[in-house]
Parts: sequence; C-alpha cells; structure tokens
Amino acid sequence: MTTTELRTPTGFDVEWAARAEALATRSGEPAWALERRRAAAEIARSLSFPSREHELWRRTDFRTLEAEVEKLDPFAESPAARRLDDLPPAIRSRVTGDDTSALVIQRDGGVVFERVPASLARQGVIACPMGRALRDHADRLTGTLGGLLESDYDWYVAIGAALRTGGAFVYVPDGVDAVAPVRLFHWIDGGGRLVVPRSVVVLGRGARATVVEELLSETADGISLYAGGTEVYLGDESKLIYGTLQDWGRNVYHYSNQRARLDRGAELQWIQTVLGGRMAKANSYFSLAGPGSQAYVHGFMFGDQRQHFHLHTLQRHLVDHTTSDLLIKGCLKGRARSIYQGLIQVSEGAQRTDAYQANRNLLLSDTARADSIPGLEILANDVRCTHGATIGHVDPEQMYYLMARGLPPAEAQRLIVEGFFAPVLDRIPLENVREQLRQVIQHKIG
Amino acid sequence: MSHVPELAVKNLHVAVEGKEILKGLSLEVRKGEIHALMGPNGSGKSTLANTLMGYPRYEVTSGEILFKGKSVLEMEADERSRAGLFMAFQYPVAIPGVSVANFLRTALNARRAVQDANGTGAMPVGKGIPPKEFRALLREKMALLHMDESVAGRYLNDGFSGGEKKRAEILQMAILKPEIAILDETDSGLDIDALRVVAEGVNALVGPDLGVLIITHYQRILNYVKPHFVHVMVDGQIQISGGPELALKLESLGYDWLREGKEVTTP
Repeated sequence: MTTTELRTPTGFDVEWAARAEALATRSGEPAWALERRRAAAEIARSLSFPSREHELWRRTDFRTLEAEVEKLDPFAESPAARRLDDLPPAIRSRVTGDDTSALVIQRDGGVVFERVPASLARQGVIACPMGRALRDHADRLTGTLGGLLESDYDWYVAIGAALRTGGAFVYVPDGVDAVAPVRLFHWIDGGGRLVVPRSVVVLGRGARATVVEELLSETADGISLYAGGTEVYLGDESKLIYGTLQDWGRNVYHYSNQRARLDRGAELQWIQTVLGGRMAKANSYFSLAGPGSQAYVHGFMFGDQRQHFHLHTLQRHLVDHTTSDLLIKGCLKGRARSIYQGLIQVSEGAQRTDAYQANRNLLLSDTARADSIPGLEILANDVRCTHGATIGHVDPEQMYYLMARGLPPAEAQRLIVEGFFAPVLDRIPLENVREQLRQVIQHKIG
Repeated sequence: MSHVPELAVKNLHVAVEGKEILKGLSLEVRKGEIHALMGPNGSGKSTLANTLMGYPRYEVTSGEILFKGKSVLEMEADERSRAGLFMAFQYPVAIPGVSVANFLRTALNARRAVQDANGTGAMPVGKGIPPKEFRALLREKMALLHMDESVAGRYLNDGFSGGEKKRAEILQMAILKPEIAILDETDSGLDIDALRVVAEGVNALVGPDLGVLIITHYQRILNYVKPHFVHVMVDGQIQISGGPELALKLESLGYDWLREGKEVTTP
C-alpha cells in the first residue's frame, strides 16, 4: 500500500483506539487480543486512506466517505433484544418460521441476539458473538483471528482490527455434519455509524456446514460505513456453503474483506450478492492450500440509480491438484456502475490446477456501465486456467420471443433478468432466503 | 364461409433493412381452417410470419393486417399475442435461467392480468392461475405432445434439440390457446418421428376455435396435417392458391414449374 499521499484522517486518533481498547478490556478480552488491537492501531496511524493510484482503488472513489469518516461513531450500540420481536422488522421477517437455524444478530456495533438450537449445541457447534468467543474459545482464535486478513492490508482493515466491534465465531467440530444452518445478520440503525465486525468460521476435519450472512438496513440520512472482515477456515475434507448477501440502505458505504482457506480435499461453495449500499467494495479471496481442495464461487451484483459496486476476487492456487470455478454476474440499470476485478494466481509447483473465471454483465440502460478486469498469474506449467467476460444489453430477439407469447415488455425484461441471475440464485441454500432475494430483485427490476 | 375472417392480410408490402420482401400479399384465414403456405427459400414466408406477429425490425410500407376486423399494425407483439395470435418460431431462442413451467405460467398470467384489468379496471395482485390448476394443465398438454415431465423444469429452449424446441413451441400453442396460429417451418429439422408427434399435436388442437397457417418449404408435413387450402408464394407474393392437390402437384413438379409463371390460376 502506497502512503505517498498522506491524508490520514484526524478522526482516527488515540481517543478512538483507546476507547475501543477500554471497552474490550471491560468485556474481558484476553491480553493477546488487546495487544493485537494496539498493534493494528499503530499500523492505522502509519497509513493513509488507500491511494487512488492503487490498482484496487483506481476505479472506486470513496472520497465523499473519507471526508466524513472522522464524524462517524464506531461505538454506537443497541440494547440487547430479549425476543425476536425486539428486532427490526426486516430481520424479524427473515427469521420468522425458521426455528432450526442458529442465529447471531448484530445491530450497529454489538450482537443483540443469539440463539443456538439444542440440536446444534449437542453436536458441539459453536455460533456466538466474537466478544464472547474471545473469552470462552480463545484457543481457537489465537491462530485464526487475523490469520488470513492482516491488519496492514490497508487503512480500513487496520482500523477495523483496532476498533473491532461485534462479529461472530462459528465452529463445527471434526466429523460433524451440522444439522441446521448458521445465520448471521448485520443491521445498521441509521446514519453516522462506523461498523467494523470481524468474524471467524472454522470447520474441523470432515465437518459440514451452511453459513449465511445477511447485511441489511433501511436507507437513512447520513453516511454509515461498514468495514467488516471475515476469515473462513475449511479443515481437511470439510464442506462449507457460505453465503454473503448484502442489501444495505443507500446511505451505507460497504467495504468488506473476506478470506477463505481450504485445506486438503475441502470444498467451498461461496455465494455472494451485492444489491445495496451507496458504494460497495468487496474483496473476496480464496486460498486453495491443500491438494484436492475445490472452491466454487457464484455471485452477482445488481445496481440501479447511481450505485457503484466493485467486486474483487482472488483465486489462489497454492498447491497442486486444486480446482476453482467462479461465475460473477452483473446487472445494471439507471446510471449504476460495476467493476469486476478477478485474478487467478497459480503458485510455483501448483501443477494440475484447474481454474475457471467467468464474468457476465447485462446492461439495462445506456447510461449504466460495467467494467470487467480479468487477470492471470501463472507460475506452474501443467495447469488449465481459463477466463472470459461478456458485457451486453438485453437481447432483442429474446424480448421479441417473450413478447410474442403475450408478455408485456416490462414482464419480458423481468423474466430475462431473473433468468440471468438464476445460476447464482439456484445455489442459495435456504429456500426462504432465496425467495426473499427473488423479491428484492423483482422490486429492483421495477 | 361466413363472417369477417379472423386474419385478413391485404396487399401487404414489407421492407427489411430497406429492401422490399413482401410485394403486395393478400391472404385470409378463418377459425376452423388449415392453410398451408408453401414456397421456395427466399420467397418471403418467414418474413410474412414475423410481420404478422409484430417483429419490430420489419417495416410495413403499405397494406393492412386485420385481426378480428381490427388493424394490428400499431400493436406490439405482446398485444397481438394476447389478442389471440400465435406464431411457432422457426428458430426459438433460448431463455437461460427461465424454466418452461415458470415461463408458461408467466405467459398465462399476463393474459389473465390484462383480461382482469379490462374487466374490472384494476389488476388483482397475485391472482394468477392457481398452481394446482396450472400443473394439471401443463401435465395434460405435455402428455399430448409426448413430452417428458422433466422438460417443465428445464430452462426454456436452452440446450434443447431441434425436435424438443419444436415440440415446446406446440406446447406453448396448446397452453395459450390462440385463435389463429402461424407455424413457421415447424417441420424443418425434424426427423420423421418427431414430425409425426408435432403433427399429431397440431391435429389435436385444430378445430372450430383455431385457424392454422402452416408455413413450409416441403410437402412432407402435409401428409400428417391436412390443409383445406394451399398457397404458393414466390418473390413476395402469393402466386397461386388451391386445394390440397396443389401441394401434391408441387411435390412432383417442384417450384420451378411456378417460376416459369405460366400457369397462374386463382380460385
């Protein structure tokens, strides 16, 4: 990260870091975790906002946010919810009728509701707020929290590590096939918030689980920033379905850094959707670290009005005989813009790598814009790596065909767009979540 | 035949990208009738079919298309469809991600929505065809066309074989129940078994409530679907019209016989 352009916000001063540390101390965070906060704070002080010269920031301008950052409140918390009825309606409607999933629900800076059904608890599955995990399961976090997402990645990650509030810890023991999904929610109550949760998900050897994370809020006045981080560890031969579904209100800037590491024979099904927020930047990196590991990544971005989305993926093939298969779809209307930036990296010696990367974009207006930036870095010679990107408008022949069956143009377009997203939607593991997402998409198509 | 013909084409001239393809074509199709429109490649058969359906890139330069007595020239394809006109595509396009069942339900509901809107002035929300009723209808029509039930869950025309596509077209016709259906080279690309199935499907649907215009290059499909009238199109016009015997004559003499342009009769 270049630091030539020194615009360190005055807002991030000793006071923020000190207060975060005091709060963490009071909540019983162990000394090593406090030490890491201090180290991250040091790093944050030495860094500036990411430079627009940087390849990953060239096309996404957070300037409006940067001017506001120092006014944001990283310590806003809501009172704990005793019952589901105490939660915002949008979350309530999403969990109503789901009595089997584990829930960890965060509102602004803190987790306000958690539930682990007995069936999961009996299996030894842990799903709890990060704060408590640091007290009760510290041994499982010393090597994992910050193990894939390092504090010096950039300024946002550094402040996130220093000020960390909330987040969840999910653990599935060796050999356990979790009988129900784990659902994580993030809700932001209004403008002026800085929300920096860090979550860790660990699957033991041969474990299986489904984790779905939903980020939601209503549009409010004033900028809020979500700068969360997630680290996901898949043990040997484990299988994880992980969904990240983002639908923030239009006042939210979203900047997520998610990392997954796959050990020998592990399989990851990753689903990521980007629908909300004013600007959303997501970095999702997948490290295939054990032979035979496989990562399947499906995602979409659907922007309207002046939304700006930037998704960066990294398929890292670190050892031999690994597979990654990625499909990112983008659909844009109004004056929305998306950037997909994907890189396949194949390390020296990572022979028999099989990597695929596809990015398909559908523009619904002449003023929308999609950029697709694929990349390959291959240091092994016996590999199969392919990538492809397309950008186009709705096919008039498809429109004609559907209209010839009596569908009004708007209905025809809706069907085409739904169909465009179907390969991603079909992979969302929970039927009610899938249905909810369909409705959001329909609403957005208008 | 009595009353106004459901479909009346009068002296139709159509240009495609500035080039005149239809040069004064006239044709009438009534419910209960089966017409065959034959002609060599390039004579304008598919242009006619798509012009009738409302393909936006074809320009009617003069003439008239009346459907149930009203001009359709200002109507979009979807309005023509909902009015009761249908065209089975020669090359049905794939709609990836949209299942046959989902598509057909949406198409049926689009008809209902408009009917309800016309009737009550307000479109009732979520008042589509009941799922159970729809499934029964779909199952019945798929059985009629010897289609495997799994096709309902497949993406529309996506990865379909030629025969599957043509069958799916007739399935749509069966579900949407048009008054006039144009089959644009539905027989092309079909092996004899598929042709028989498609033809049986068409035969099962024809009757007093449906008029059919079969557009074909070959006489073959007419062995299975018996037309009442046969028209032969050459160079953007109907050169000759007659009864079923005309198709047989063409089969033995070929289109060259017409190109010589000597023996032109109008019934």
